[in-house]
Amino acid sequence: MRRNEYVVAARKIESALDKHHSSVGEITAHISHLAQAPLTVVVLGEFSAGKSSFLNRLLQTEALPVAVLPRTATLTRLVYANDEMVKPGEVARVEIERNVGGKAEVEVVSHEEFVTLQRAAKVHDIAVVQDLARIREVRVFLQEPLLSKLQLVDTPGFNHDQAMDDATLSILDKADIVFWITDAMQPAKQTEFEKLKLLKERGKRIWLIVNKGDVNVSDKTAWEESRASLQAYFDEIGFLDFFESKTVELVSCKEKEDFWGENFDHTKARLGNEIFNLDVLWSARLVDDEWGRLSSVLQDECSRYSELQRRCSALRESIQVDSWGACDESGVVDALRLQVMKLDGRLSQHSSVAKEWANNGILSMTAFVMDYTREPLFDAFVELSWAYEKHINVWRIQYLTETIAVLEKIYGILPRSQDALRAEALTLVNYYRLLHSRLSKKADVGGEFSLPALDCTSELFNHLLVKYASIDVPCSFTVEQDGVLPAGKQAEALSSKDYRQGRLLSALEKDFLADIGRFTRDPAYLGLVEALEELSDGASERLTHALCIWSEHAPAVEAL
Amino acid sequence: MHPPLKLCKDERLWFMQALDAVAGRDGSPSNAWKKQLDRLGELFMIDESDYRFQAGAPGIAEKVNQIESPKVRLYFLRIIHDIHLLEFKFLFRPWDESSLKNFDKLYSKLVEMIRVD
Repeated sequence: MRRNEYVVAARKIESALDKHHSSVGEITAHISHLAQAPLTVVVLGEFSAGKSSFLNRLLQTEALPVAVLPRTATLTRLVYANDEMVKPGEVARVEIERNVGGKAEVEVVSHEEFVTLQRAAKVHDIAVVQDLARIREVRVFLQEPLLSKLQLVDTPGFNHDQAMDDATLSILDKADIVFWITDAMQPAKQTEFEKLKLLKERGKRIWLIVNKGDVNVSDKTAWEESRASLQAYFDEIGFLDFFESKTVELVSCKEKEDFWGENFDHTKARLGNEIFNLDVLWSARLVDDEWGRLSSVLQDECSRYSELQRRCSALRESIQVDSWGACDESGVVDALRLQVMKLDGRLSQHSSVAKEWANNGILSMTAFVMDYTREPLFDAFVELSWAYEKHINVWRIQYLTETIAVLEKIYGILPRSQDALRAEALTLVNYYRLLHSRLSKKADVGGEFSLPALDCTSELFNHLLVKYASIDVPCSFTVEQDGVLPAGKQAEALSSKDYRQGRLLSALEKDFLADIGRFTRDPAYLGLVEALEELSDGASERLTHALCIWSEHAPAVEAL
Repeated sequence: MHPPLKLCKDERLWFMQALDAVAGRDGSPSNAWKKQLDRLGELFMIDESDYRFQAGAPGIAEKVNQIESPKVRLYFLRIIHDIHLLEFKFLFRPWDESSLKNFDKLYSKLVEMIRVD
């Protein structure tokens, strides 16, 4: 059968992806689940919409507790009790699965004990509350033929508190078919739209049941009017777009009098014809659904990870100081050439003073005069440092702007399953934004950066000129710039001026590279880049392989 | 880059007066001293008549110790030491050791009296 083929192929895809892509893993696991287990029909809706009442009424039982305190509510699975000793509609046993120290522990109790536990939950006893908080799931084994075909799951409901929302959302991956219960008195709330959108994004097939239809409705005529009015309202606001059923099932799970009883039976029969009696067909359809969805999720993952790899490369490139240096070297030199020339001029003037005094042969006197007359030189150096700081500030702001943009993109691309990495990226973006704002405000504040290489170089010149006053001659230092000369080519002797200026500029570049290296090699940033690279490493090959497997089993175009 | 030495007008005068007093310890300064005094006076823009000063070690130390920068005070000691070496090199006469002895005595006292830290 085609469906079995999909199940086998889904397993191959799962193995090819090696648990790296949880969004794909959820679908492949669901395909396996659909092929092996009975259909899981999950009842969802806002808290207190009447989900438990609906299930009790559907199964003609009182197996499920109604109006339980919100904090005690948990997932309750109704499972077929294959036990001849138990009468139809009766509960054979209840299994309570608790989370004890991270491990699941199952306790089997009778229905009476379960009811007692539920009653205890209504009492504000801290020990009971703590015990109930540990419950992961309750399985009620019921002698009901319908449950031999499918499992029904009651949920705490949405929009009461986050813990209940989380508990309810946890079942979604295993939900095959969803019954959405809405309250006729407050139907189609905005919060319901949000949750229904989420369900549709996950490709769920949903049926709508409108409960509490009896409020202010006494007879069939009023019910017809109410139903027609709701139908028109739902059509208008697009509420019915979420559901497989395009008609409104307006029921009362509480009222069992003649009209309401017939009405519920009619709904039950309809659900039976559309779902319960077609469980095998639905399993097949849902496998097809999931198989189709798998392709788009795989393609999404492919684009996501190729984008991630591209962004990672951009981040990695921004850390390569040499590449920044290569791009910006001329930038810093050009921007500060005037200041460097000025500093060089002052060095030259200062060296003249040094030479003049060095003729005395009194070293201490020359050094004293050099120290005393260095003010113009010092001013030129400070001027250059300020200009440098402004330049590097502009560079840093630009760097932060670009890095923030890339990190924001990465945050958007990262799968939701990568919580820790997303949080890390977000923290870094926020920190860089703060830094960006601070740096933008302090455009004229100086003194933070030093220029050690340039400082050493000018001090060195000073020293040389004091000690060897006659050094201002053509230099033999050209070997650094000439490298290996072609055979027969004469090396050009540099004037001491060219040599000095060349040394000052290269010291400036050295400082610039050291500073940008310091900024770009932020450990938090480096750590994130490494983690991202690890995540995206091999993703492309894995996903391409998975898509190949999918393509080999692609349904015919008309079937899609 | 370390900042330049700063000396105010008074400090420059005290520095020159102290130098002049060391140079004239035995009467009239030698040529080596004169040359340095002239050049430094020109650099500091102080006329010779303004920095004329005669004093012993306490008077010289008092002038120098008024200068705020310890580095300048240290320079003072190094400079008088080096000028004297030069002077001694050119004027040394084996039979006249008084110049050497006089400077050594004065220098030892100044080293004790001038604060360099």
